[in-house]
Amino acid sequence: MTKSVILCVDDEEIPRTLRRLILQKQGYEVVAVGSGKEALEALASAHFDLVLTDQMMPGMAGTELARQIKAATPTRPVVIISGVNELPADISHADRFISKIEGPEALFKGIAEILERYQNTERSMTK
Amino acid sequence: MQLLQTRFPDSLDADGLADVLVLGGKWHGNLRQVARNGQNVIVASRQALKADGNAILEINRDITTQLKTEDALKRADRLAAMGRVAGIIAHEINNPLEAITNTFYLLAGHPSLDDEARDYARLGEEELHRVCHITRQTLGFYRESKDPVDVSLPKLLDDILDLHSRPLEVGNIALDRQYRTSGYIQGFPVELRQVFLNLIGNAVQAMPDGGQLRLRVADCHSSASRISGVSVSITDTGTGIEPEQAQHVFEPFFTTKSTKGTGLGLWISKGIVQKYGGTIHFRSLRRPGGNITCFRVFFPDPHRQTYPKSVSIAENHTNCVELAGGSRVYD
Repeated sequence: MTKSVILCVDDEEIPRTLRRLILQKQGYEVVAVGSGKEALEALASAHFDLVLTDQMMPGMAGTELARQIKAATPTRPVVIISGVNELPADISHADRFISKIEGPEALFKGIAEILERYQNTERSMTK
Repeated sequence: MQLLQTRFPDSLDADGLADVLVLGGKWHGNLRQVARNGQNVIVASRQALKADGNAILEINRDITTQLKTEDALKRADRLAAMGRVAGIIAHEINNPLEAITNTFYLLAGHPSLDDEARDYARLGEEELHRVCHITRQTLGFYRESKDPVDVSLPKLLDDILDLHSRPLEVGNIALDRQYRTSGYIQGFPVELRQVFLNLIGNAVQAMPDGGQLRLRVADCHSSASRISGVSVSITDTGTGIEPEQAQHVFEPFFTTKSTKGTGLGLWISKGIVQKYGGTIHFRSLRRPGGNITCFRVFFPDPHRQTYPKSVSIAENHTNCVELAGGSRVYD
């Protein structure tokens, strides 16, 4: 079975690297970038099964990145991860919001559920 | 309204007020007065000397409600400010906490570690879980939505019981559910889940040798305060609460669970319930035949959505009435 490919977006290097490492340990292929702009460039040149983005980033917030991704490709899953304790105002374009404090297991569970949901939808459409 | 007496401010008594009137001809200020029915009212009082000093014209306006409203608004402002500060702190703490948690996750499973080093990593991971738990309890109220939603309290309790199904089964704890209403209120599920997760978790932990856990949800109204709403009672037959501990259970960092408890659960629960305008009380009866502890949470209107039926608060207190022999209510 081919590995799902995740695009991991965070402006802070250490959290970004650690998130990439735990996701790789979980069996995902991960490409990590440092901004929303870099994420859109990566998405234009390669296929990703899911985008995992931090919410609070300079230049482009996670919600704005989710909006632009969904405008271009509505079927691309986007998960927002955040350290804030309130939902961002414009969360409607993201598929899931996960609090950073919930830990790795909650992150893995959230990603697996969203990937499965999209894969099931894809399968039912190709039938 | 007939008034029995006036209580003067600390800086002024009846003679002092008379002196002020004689010297200045007039006075205004707030006075606390007690009505014949014992009710305290605060009046804005204006007094002036008339008829060449032979009479006093006194005009009093009851501002009790106005002051209460202002006080409630001030409290709401304080809560909002605290929420904003909590949000900022949450962001600053949660980001490095996530990084450290992920580091320990990688470290604990790293193949190069020998058993001793792996044990150290696991110890660190466990302690970190405690920090995350406290942070989540105090700062981590991220909400599923910006606006409150309809929440069915019986369904919420059932979801929490699912989490405790294993401890209930293994711990030989019999469950008695008495849901007498759909129990819908408007609120934030994360907050409400936290309240009942704490109360049910405490009840389960109080029964290490088994017992009975009774959950009851009912519509009710208080004949005293004339407030209607929904109440949830959580009753256990566990170890009970010592009288000397009873005064402190809602204080922060008070715990009877040694290193296992943070001592924040009930304090936070009370804060959440109060935010909904509700109350939380408990009674604990310790006796040779078995202890009974009952926590009762009341959510008043306007957080209610449906009013399918009403029972009096006395009826709804059945759980607590049977505990009443010598026990006290604490809130």
